Amino acid sequence: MRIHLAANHLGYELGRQLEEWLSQSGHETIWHGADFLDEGDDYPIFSARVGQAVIDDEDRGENVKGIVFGGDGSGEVIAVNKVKGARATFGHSAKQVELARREADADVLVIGAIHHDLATAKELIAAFLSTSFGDALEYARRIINVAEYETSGTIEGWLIEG
Amino acid sequence: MPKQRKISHLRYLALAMPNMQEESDFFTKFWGLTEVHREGEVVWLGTEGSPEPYQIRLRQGEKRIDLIGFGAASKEDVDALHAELVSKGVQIIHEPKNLAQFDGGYGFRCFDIDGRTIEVSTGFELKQSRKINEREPIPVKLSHVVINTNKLAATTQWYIDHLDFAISDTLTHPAMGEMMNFMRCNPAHHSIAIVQGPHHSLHHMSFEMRGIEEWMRGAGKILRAGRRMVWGPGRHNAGDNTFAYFIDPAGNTVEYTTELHNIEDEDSWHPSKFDITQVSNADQWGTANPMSEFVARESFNDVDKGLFVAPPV
Repeated sequence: MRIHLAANHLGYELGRQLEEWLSQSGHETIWHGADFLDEGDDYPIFSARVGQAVIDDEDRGENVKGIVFGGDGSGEVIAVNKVKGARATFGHSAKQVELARREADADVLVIGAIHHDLATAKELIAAFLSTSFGDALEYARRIINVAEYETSGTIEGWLIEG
Repeated sequence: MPKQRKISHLRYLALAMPNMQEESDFFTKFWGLTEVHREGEVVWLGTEGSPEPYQIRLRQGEKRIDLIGFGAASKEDVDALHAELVSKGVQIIHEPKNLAQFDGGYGFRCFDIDGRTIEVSTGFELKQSRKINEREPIPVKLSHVVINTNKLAATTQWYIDHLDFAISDTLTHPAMGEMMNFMRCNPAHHSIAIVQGPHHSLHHMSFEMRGIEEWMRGAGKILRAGRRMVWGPGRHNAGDNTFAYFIDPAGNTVEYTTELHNIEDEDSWHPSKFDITQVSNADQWGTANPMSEFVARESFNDVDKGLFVAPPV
């Protein structure tokens, strides 16, 4: 699987360790963050790059995911989800990440380095990469509804017109 | 056992429009078709998942349906169907012959009761195809073509009497009567459908996706391409297929669908009449916007300017 990765300075050390772990596990990793630890660098551009790279690859039919590392991670979730089509989830527990994959087809995982050590981060990533979308009609419908709102400002065309 | 008919399947839809290149760009960059051939101002586009050489043909010109192409299993079937149509007084455009399109083949063309050009062919050159991958947001094949007519009963009966189609299901309206007939020529619940409208035109063309996930991803991609979703996402009762309808750059309606019902045993199949005013009959989920007048008006499309005029190619 191709995995797009990035981190700001708070997630840099954890992110680089996990980049290496993913590469050794046989994944193709692409790093979108700084080339070195850059104290004080900001998360928005890295987060958006990962989200856009994932969507571009999805549209080409690639098997792809994104992972972003931050301090808390909340800002990164918000930033990634500004990319049209991106569905980023916050990594809280392996069970929650599985649900995010199965029901919401989350395609970017955000891990907060102040919340997780290396071992638990690996558990979150393992759940993220090994869980497939549930392929159920009701999940798909809701995801298309969100995509419609994101692109046209309505859901079902007219139901939420103001 | 499925009934054997002289028409084996829906092959392709040929359209003309004044913005052919824009239309072609939409289908190749976003919809997921591949350009397989081009000659002057005509382009042939195919799905990578189907051995059919192409699924749509686009021509620069005044907007119209150029033709609806059907396949036959053999030259004998082509010849026999042609002879039947001649005996029934159908207006033939050309008799069975070797066809001039790049994929070759043998076939004839005629007008249907409303003046649409119909092509029936066999022996054309198939192309290399592949299994569409999981999550790949591109169509597998052309699923069905839906046409508007201003005389539903007569047009439907023509396709039954002349091309041996059968009605799989019907949509009705309490005040307006029968509104739409789903027609089959093989086990697929419908390869064409005929809709009562104000005039003759293309209602929509529908492409089959590999599965639910691919259908979902395709719909998201088209929304991000800036196209409007006029109806969906939902699941039809008639045909049991999922739907999401969009408007393409030529103003035609195009659909991504998946899981269209197959009728394996025609003898035990009983066509249903679904009341279109009951939302759950058009959309099993009941969550897509109701089949409103606005949605219907969108699908009326422009009047077909090609009736009883054979296309130049």
